[in-house]
Amino acid sequence: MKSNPLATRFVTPGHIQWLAQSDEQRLDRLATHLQHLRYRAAIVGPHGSGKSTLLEHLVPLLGTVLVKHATYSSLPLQPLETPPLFPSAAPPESCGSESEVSTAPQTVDQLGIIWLQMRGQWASARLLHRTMQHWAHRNRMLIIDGYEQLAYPARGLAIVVTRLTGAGLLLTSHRRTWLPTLVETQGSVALAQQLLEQLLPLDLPDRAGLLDPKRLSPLLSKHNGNLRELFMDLYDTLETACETNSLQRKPR
Amino acid sequence: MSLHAGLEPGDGLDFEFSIHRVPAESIDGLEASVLWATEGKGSEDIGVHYFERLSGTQLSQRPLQEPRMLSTKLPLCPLSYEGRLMKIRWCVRLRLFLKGGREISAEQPFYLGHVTREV
Repeated sequence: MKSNPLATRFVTPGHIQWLAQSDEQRLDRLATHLQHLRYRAAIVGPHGSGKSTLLEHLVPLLGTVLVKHATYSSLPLQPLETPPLFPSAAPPESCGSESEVSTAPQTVDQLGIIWLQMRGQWASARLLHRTMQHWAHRNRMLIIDGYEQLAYPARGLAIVVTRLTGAGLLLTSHRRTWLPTLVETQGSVALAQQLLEQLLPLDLPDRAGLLDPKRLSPLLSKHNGNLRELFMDLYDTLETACETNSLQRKPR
Repeated sequence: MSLHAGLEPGDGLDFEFSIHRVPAESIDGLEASVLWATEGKGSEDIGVHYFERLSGTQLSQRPLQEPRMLSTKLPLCPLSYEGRLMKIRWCVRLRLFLKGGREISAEQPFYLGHVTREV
C-alpha cells in the first residue's frame, strides 16, 4: 500500500518546500524586503513556478492569518480589532505606479492577514468586495493568490481600496502588476532536481534516473517550465513502473 | 498501534494503541479517527467515519503505556481502491497534541474489502 511520492498530497504548496535559488530569495530577506515595501508587492511567475509555495512559507513570518481560503459566506462580517500597523503620521504614498519607500512600519506583530484564493471571477469579485468592505484597514494585509482570476475592475479596485485604507496587499500574478515585484519565480531543472531529491524516497527504483538533468530538461521544456505539471508527468512514470513491477512479481 | 490489514465492510474494527516516550504532562489531547482519503493526481477528498477526542486529563487517568482500545463498526463503502489516477485509502489516524502547539501524528493503513484495482 505504498503511496506515489508525487501524489497531490505531497506536492501541494503547503507540503512542498520553498527552495531559495539566490540569497535574495531567502525567506527572511523577502520578509524584510516586503516590510520595506510597506507590505504592498507582487510575487510574479508563470504557472507552477512556486508562487503559492512561497506564500505558504512566507506568510507565517509576516503576521497572524485571520482568514485563509475563505468563501463569500464564510468570511465574517466584522474584523477583529488589532492596533494599527503603521503610525498615523505615515507619509502618503506616491501617485501612479507604487514604488519602494524607505520608511519601515513600526511593528508587524499585529498584522492581521486575510488570505484569498481566487477561483472564478464572479465569486472572487463578491468575496473581494466583502473583504474590502469590512476588512481593509491599516493593520490588515490582503493576500490575493491568483490575481488574474479577478475581473479587471476588481483588480483595480483591490489595489486602490487597499491603498486608500492603508492596508497591505500581496498578490501572486503571472505578469507584472502596478505593485512592485517582490520576487520573480521561475521553474528550472536545478529546482526540479532539488525538490525531487526531497520528494523521492531513497529506496525508489531508478531514483537516479528520475533525478537526471538530461531527463528532466526536456520534460520541463515540454511543460513550459511548469513544475507542477512536471511532477504530474513523473507521477504517471512512477505509476507505470509500479504496475510493471507488480506484474513482474506475479507468479506464473 | 496494531490492526489487521484487511477488513470486510460492515465488520467491527477494534484497534489498540499505546503511547510511549511522551510525558503525560506535555499532552494536551489526543484525536483518534478512522477515515478514508483519496490520493492521486487531482484534488483530494476525505471522509471521517469515526472520531474521538481524549483530553490530557482523560489520558492521564491511566498510564500512557497501557494499551487502549477503540471500537467502531466499519461502513459498507467506499471500498479501498487502487487506481492509476486515484486511490482510496483507509486508515486509523492518531494525532497527539502537545503543549506548545506541537503535534505527533501516526497512521495505520488498512484495506476495506477486497481491494479493487484498475484494469
